[in-house]
Amino acid sequence: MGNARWDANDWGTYAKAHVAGKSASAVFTSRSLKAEYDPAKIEFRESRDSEMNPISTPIILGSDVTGSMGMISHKLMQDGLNTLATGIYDRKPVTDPHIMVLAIGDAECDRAPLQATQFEADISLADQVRDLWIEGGGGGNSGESYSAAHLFAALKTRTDAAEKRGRKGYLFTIGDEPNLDGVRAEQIRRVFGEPQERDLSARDCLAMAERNYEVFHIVLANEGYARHGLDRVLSTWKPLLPERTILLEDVNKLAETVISTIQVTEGANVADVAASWSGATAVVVANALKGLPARAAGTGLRRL
Amino acid sequence: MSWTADQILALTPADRGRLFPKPAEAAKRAFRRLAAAWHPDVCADPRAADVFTHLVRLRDAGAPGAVRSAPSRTLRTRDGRALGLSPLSALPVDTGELLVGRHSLTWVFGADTADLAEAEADMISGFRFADERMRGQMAPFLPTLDRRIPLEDGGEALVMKRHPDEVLLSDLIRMRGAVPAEHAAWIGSGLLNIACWLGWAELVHGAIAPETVLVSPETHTVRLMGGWGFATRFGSRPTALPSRTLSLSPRLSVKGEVAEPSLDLELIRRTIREVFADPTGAALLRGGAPEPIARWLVMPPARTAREDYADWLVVLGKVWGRRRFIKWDLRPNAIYA
Repeated sequence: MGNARWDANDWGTYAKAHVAGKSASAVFTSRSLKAEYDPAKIEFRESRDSEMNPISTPIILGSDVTGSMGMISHKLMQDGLNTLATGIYDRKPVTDPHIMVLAIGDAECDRAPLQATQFEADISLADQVRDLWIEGGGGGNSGESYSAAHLFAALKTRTDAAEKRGRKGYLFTIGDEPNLDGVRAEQIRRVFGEPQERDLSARDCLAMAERNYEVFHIVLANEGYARHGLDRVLSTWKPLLPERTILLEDVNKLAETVISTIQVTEGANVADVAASWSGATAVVVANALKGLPARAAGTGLRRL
Repeated sequence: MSWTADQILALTPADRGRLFPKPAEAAKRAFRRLAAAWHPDVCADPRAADVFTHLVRLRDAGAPGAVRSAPSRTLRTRDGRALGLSPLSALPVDTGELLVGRHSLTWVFGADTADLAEAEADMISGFRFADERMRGQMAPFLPTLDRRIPLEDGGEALVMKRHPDEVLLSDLIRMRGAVPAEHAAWIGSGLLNIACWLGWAELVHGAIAPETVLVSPETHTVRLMGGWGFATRFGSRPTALPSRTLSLSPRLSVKGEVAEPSLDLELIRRTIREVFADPTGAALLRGGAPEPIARWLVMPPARTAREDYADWLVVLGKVWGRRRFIKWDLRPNAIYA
């Protein structure tokens, strides 16, 4: 997948017809898990180079869709995807983005704890995102199955970036809750359709994802659970992703934060990147990127 | 000249010119003549098969399938001497350069990594074992330092013995591509055996990679020869690490994070995936390796090296049943011209 290019004009036409002025329930009309997005039925998702995208970079956005967090997907559909794709084209922190969206739920109680679009480079991604089921579930168990997104990236994606060039893609999970500690063997068998005998901890799932992805988590600091339980949220994320747990104050700046994080990881200066945005966006991005380490130049050994 | 079996079997790849003169057409003719004489179908000598196989190896040693000898070089020592080296292979490594010699490995550290040379020498001289039995079991798989040579430029060369039947794992992968599964298996077992000793010694190596490992296709021995300057105690913070390691474990870039045993187990998985010529593991689960091995390589390590090794042996048992030695007809001279 990913044989075409994102076009802002296509997006404008699409958004006018399917998104503008519509509520989340009108945009997302699926009322059950569709087989094409069910990880148990997906052998793997591919991000492959093509004539249009010769040096592809896989980017995964894992969006919490429990409770009120369906609004993240809604924001992506309102303008987030367009801002992200065009922003990466304009700023070029990486080449030829192939974007996949994961809908993350709660493997303890949801009927669709994880859904996955294809990797896409054009407007066809929007149709798939709209087709995801915003289950709105999640239990009262103080956490969601963000680790399932890590595991999906590790087990069920194949990318030319990694296989041909030894380059990592990017994986962002986004949400308001603590991370449930890993995925149980029974859940891996049920949700992923994989024969698995032992439970995997959150550290296990993350380590597997980090083989081929730069992994980040974006905490929506002023939304839902995090608004009153931020310490609890961070207590599960900071030990996992020190310096890569990003606190975002304004969910409307999600796309800009993702682009900026990629820029900094690819070597850009945090202050320069933040200043490149205008007005309030610059402030939100600057706060989000505090402490984010830049990638050290070159290869070889690194002094610690 | 008429060659005897003993004379032919005594020839090394460096001597191949005595059998196969230049130009290439003359070499081909010489090979055809000798092959016709020594082919086991027509030659009654009981060693005909060995001689014929050796002739093929000598021919192939000069072919593109073998590592070409690296250019000769001179190391200038701090006491003013000039040491000439003619390595079989030379490889840039994180700490400088690795030279594979006929009987040695020489790690050349630059002035900017001289502290790592010091740390490496200290670590190797400080290897400890519970008793003589453990020493006897483990020492053959660990390096011993033959010489330390301070260099004029402020760097240092560390020289270790290489057995003639050993090949640098990265040279093997580079020249031969994917290693057959039954041979990847003993390489994996060898690395995990070393990991168990590292676990006992409470050390994290931190740089297990094809560039730091010697293997013997003949005896199935695996030795962890380099990268010891990066090693640290469990729960301590390394002073430096290769980018390859940090790519697998980005958290170690963060101030205050410490090395854990799982790091070496993850590096071993990566190394074995590279042995299968599939560093990402993308093809392994699609038939690139026997399914139990592929799954072991893709899944995360167990909590300790001993548990991980035990799991690995179960996996090998599922694939091949009882352990047995499977001969690999690959001589170092097929790798090093």
